[in-house]
Amino acid sequence: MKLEIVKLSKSFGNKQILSGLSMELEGGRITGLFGPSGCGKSTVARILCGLEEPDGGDVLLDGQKLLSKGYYDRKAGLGIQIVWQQPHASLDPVQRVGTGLKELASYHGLASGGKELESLTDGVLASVGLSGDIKKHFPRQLSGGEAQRIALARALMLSPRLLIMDEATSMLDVSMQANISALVKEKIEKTGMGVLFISHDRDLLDHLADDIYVFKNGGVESSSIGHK
Amino acid sequence: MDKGFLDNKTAVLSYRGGIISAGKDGSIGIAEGVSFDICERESFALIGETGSGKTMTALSVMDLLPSGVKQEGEEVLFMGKTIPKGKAMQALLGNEIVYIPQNGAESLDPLRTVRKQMYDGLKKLGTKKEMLSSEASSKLSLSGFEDPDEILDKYPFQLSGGMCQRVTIAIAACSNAKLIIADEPSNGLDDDFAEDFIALVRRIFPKAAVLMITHDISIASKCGSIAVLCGGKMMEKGRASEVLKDPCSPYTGSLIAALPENGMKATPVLREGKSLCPFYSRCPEASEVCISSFPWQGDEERGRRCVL
Repeated sequence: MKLEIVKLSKSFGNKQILSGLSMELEGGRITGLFGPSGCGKSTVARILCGLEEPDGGDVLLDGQKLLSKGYYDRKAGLGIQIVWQQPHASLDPVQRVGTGLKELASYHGLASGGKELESLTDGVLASVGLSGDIKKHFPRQLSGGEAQRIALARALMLSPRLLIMDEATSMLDVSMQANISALVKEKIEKTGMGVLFISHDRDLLDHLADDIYVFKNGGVESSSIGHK
Repeated sequence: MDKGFLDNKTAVLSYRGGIISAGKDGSIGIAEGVSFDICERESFALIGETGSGKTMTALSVMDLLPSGVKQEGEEVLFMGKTIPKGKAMQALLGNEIVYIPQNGAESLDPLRTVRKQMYDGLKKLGTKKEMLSSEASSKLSLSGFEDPDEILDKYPFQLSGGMCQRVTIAIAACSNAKLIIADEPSNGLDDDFAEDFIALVRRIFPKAAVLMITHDISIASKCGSIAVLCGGKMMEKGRASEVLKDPCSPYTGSLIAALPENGMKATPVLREGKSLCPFYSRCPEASEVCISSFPWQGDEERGRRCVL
């Protein structure tokens, strides 16, 4: 997997959030995005997922155009999945965990139904360290760590080439943060996917990320590629 | 030093939590045996993983436990007297006992300007009408806003997460706070704000006792004392500097080892089976003796709950 961001720009009203941002992400590596609140880290994530449209610039996924102003390749975009900061806000509060997972699998044609669906969802839950019993629970019955694992399971179910974690561990306690990080590293080793890890915690990125980009004023202020 | 609220020996909050449980017949244990004292000018942190009972302990102080959750056998004293419940507690909340919530943006009324929300608290304090604006500006200024007059007429959605949290602190400052309860006040905010938080609270409420609920060990390290909770049980208690530097409970050790600067060591499930100790299944040091023995070793000031 290789993702190239070329001269990406985005503004909201008069405020320029991204101005000519260029960077590269590779599979099998964790790329950290670091910067203060409001510097555009999450805007990059939203653009990559097709939730925001850039004002200019291109993004290429494995050499093919993924997006530009007025264009987003939805099929290729499925290869980019995201885990958000607030685990409970990512899940439908009135839908049981199992129902949500099965709905996702059915929608994307990952299983034909019945036993195949059960087996697929059980396997995905096991891959994030959860038992099948959790399928009957509603999100309000889950701890923050459990809910974030479910969000991660939903993202991993689609076998992403790039997983974006937008402050995905900042609401979690230190041991859950360590457990989720270990899990993501394990997935990278198994699948070769790339991870874009967005955080305002520099200590965390120094430990986790292979490459780190520091954002300031809409662009990359500095980068340390292969700093580990 | 200014004259305090109390004599030096009486704690602002003396908490002996008894048992907090939920479900039919209290079958779901939430917290048990949590106890601590906080005197004025002191700060006390409750740390632990998600679901360890930190927030429920804090809510129980304010008689705000959710329906279906009950507390038995508790003995909680506020300013040396049994803490009231019901309407008498509601009269204390926002006045002598102030709660700073986790998410500033969500806790503010989205339909009212900062000015109107601050005036509510100032009016309760008996501030004269002509003084409301200047007092509100002064509280915002204390909370770290360089241009408070500009903030007064903003709605919460026009402010960043950190700014909303500072506004909640400014609103909290519109009180006669003797006890501040802050629940994960720096969650999701920039490190700079998290680092400043305790100093900010101390500057605004120099005499108040502070109960800090946090999973952020860097925040807890700035408090005077801490209790470490796991599965509703108090695993270790003592001066923050001692507990974090030289933990004597394997659970506290695992939390510290999970910090990025210590290599983020994960704590996977290592064994099956039930034990009195909630950390048994993940504890690297556990043995058979842990199954049936889980004693408190130490005294009220410094100790740990562990048989090892």
